[in-house]
Amino acid sequence: MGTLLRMEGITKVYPGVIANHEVDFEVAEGEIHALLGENGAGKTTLMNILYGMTTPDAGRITLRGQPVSIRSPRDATALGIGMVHQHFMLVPRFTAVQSVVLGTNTGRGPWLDLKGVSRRLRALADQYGLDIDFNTEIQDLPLGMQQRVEILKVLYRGADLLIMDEPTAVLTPDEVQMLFGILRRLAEQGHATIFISHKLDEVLAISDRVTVLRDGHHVATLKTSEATQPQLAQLMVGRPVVLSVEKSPRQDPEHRVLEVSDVWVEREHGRDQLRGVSLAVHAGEILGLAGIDGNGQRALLEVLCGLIRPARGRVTLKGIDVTGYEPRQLADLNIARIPEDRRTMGLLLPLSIWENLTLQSYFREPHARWGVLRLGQMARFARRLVAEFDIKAPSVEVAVSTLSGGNQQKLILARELHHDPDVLIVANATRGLDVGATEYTYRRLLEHRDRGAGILLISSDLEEILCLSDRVAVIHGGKIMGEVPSDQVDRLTLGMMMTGTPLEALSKA
Amino acid sequence: MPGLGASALAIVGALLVTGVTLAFAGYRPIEVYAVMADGALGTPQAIGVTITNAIPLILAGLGVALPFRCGLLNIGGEGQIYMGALAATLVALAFPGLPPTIHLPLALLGGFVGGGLWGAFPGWLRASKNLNEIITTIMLNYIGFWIISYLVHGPLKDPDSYGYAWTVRVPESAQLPLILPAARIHLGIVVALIIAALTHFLLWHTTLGFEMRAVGAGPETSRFAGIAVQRSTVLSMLIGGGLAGMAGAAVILGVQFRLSDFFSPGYGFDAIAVALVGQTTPFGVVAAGLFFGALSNGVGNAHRALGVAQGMTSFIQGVTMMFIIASQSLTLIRLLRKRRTVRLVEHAH
Repeated sequence: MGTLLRMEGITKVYPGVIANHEVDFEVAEGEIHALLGENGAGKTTLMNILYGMTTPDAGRITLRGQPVSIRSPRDATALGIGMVHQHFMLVPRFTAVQSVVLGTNTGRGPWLDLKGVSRRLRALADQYGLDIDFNTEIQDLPLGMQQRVEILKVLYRGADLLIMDEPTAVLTPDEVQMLFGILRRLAEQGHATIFISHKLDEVLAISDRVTVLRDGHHVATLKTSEATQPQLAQLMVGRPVVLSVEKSPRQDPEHRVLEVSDVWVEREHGRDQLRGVSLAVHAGEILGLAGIDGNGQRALLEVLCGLIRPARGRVTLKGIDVTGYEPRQLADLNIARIPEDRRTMGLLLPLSIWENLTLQSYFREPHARWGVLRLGQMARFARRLVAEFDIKAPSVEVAVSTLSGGNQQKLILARELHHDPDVLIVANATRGLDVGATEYTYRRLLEHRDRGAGILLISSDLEEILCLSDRVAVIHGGKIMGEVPSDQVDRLTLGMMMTGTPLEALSKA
Repeated sequence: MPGLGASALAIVGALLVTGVTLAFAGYRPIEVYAVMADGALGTPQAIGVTITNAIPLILAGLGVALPFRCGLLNIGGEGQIYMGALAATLVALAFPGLPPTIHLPLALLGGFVGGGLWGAFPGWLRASKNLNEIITTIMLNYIGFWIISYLVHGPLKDPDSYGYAWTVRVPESAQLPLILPAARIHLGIVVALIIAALTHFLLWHTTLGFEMRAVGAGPETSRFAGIAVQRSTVLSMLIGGGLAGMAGAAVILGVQFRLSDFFSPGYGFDAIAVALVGQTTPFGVVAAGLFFGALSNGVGNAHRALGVAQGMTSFIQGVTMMFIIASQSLTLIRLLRKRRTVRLVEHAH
């Protein structure tokens, strides 16, 4: 196989940060090449340079042996480079055909030739095995299909080098398998793919070669067949990483700390509701609640946080019926909540570290007296937590928006965990975090489990569920599909349950 | 306060742009600015007018800044000023025999309550019905103004006022006394400074202020943390409206002494500029209020001496605002940075 793309000595400096430092990167024709690295390692910068979204300060790019200068995405497209972004760039109210046509010339001057395009697209979709519903509006398509529309869009524009930015982040296990099938088919037909990811198992499953970036430097390029997971993790983080944690046997398994019985939530839009959910979390265990996003997890989280009152059913916390409790009353029962979206549900981004750390305690002694804040106390408290949880920040006065994702997460963990809660409700706690920060989060959660806290871990990341949980329950369409001990569970069963097959139906078959 | 540096820069930029415009119009900018400075600060009387101008701007500016911290844009200052002025006038006229130490605070409090209710209503609409406060406060400006207009042309009209549509004079016991008679500076400036300090204390030293700022910084996060978001919304609009209402009270009780439907030249709208230029911090608002008070005074002098158009006040105010909004617009900053790095790269090659 000949070399399709060669990037040499790519350097890009942003004020205060060297995003890429003399990075070399090479892709062969028909190759699936994984680009691996933590958040901030320089993957995105490198790909933005390749796709013409930003220009390098130094370095050369050669495509098919010719030196090229890529100054805009338009240049990149003309050179046969296509990018499928992590957040899809589609118009919700358009059909697949309309979305693909947008921004291209259909060959009939100012008039759209949608019929002709539609014919060509169907042929293209058949050729690469892309299962797409062409007549439905994008907003009504599942995410996996939206992604296939994006891939088709890129192919239609004549790309033979595809950049896929974290393509599996939004997919179900089934859809991931389907995507891998598509990528292999593309490779067979001579298209090269750059697969950006920080999920090691996926990189190992799909790629031919792996390039690892760390702190803007090229660390290694190896053949995937010769690489191992611990080796890649170490290259990525720069030290040995233990993500598969040794768990001690759980203690006191009979003591129920959190019980949800037959909880119903009605919602106006019908999308995110609960239809008779029952769960029990015991002291000293992690109950993983797996499920594809939007199947009632948010409603459950809001019920457990005291933000919505269920239409029916009961929530019991440490033996107390807390149905309809206010958030503050729940906090008084020593429970911690780590919401799924750090930026909009967990943090006040424009405000300082100390304000964010005292968000649960600003109104009570010793942080306030008679409605007046005691700023000295608050700052001392914040400085203590910053040290204790190793939050990297110049001072407690800086705005939280200036912190990295990992440090923002540590801040939430510090706020929610410093008082050793009895019950933790955790939702997608590691979404968007790099390996180092994920490992840190896992370690903290397991610490609390071993200490005897009961943890409900709501997550759409199966790896995370399997890595941490003692038992796994699956939610779909607002119902619990079933519950299994984590050592007796297989991915296929979980995948079936996540897409709506109850456990009983599976065990009968 | 690092933000105020940006404001100062914006003002300098606005003065430069205005200077160029003046030059095109046939004036000598330096001369115009010198006359303006003299008119605004040159004599004790000039300083007195500047400060008198600044009092309602500071109070109404605080009335915009405080809800802004809670994530709300209060465009209703003008209506709140009128309603505050009405309530203050009514209190002043209703209890003529009271001693000043009781009567004046009571009238000012009336101003707070009148404006506060006129602000709390859109706050409540926002909190309970999710109606956009920008629209409702604008609407309430008209309603407030026409209520006052009706009253001073009808039921509250001074029967001996000949052609003028205004109320009878408020009794001296409810008036803001002059504290520096030579410069004609009245007690209102002290009131405004105390209120600014109290607003600062409320926002940064109390749990209520913490909640308001939390709601402004992240309503969803605040909800998850158990903060009563709706209460903070209503409360910040109540206090914001109240502060604007005090601006109206201060004008009636300190300068005009009679309620009319033309006593405010748009303080409620200038307040938005004052709040933004002051970076929505109370002490920044004081500085910005004094600056804009001086500006309109200085332009008045330049108008009399050199024939410069009165509209220059609004012009400078507008250009300053544009600079500030531009400096706060992240997209623009990113764009500029990108340009700069691209240029650096081109130099490197």
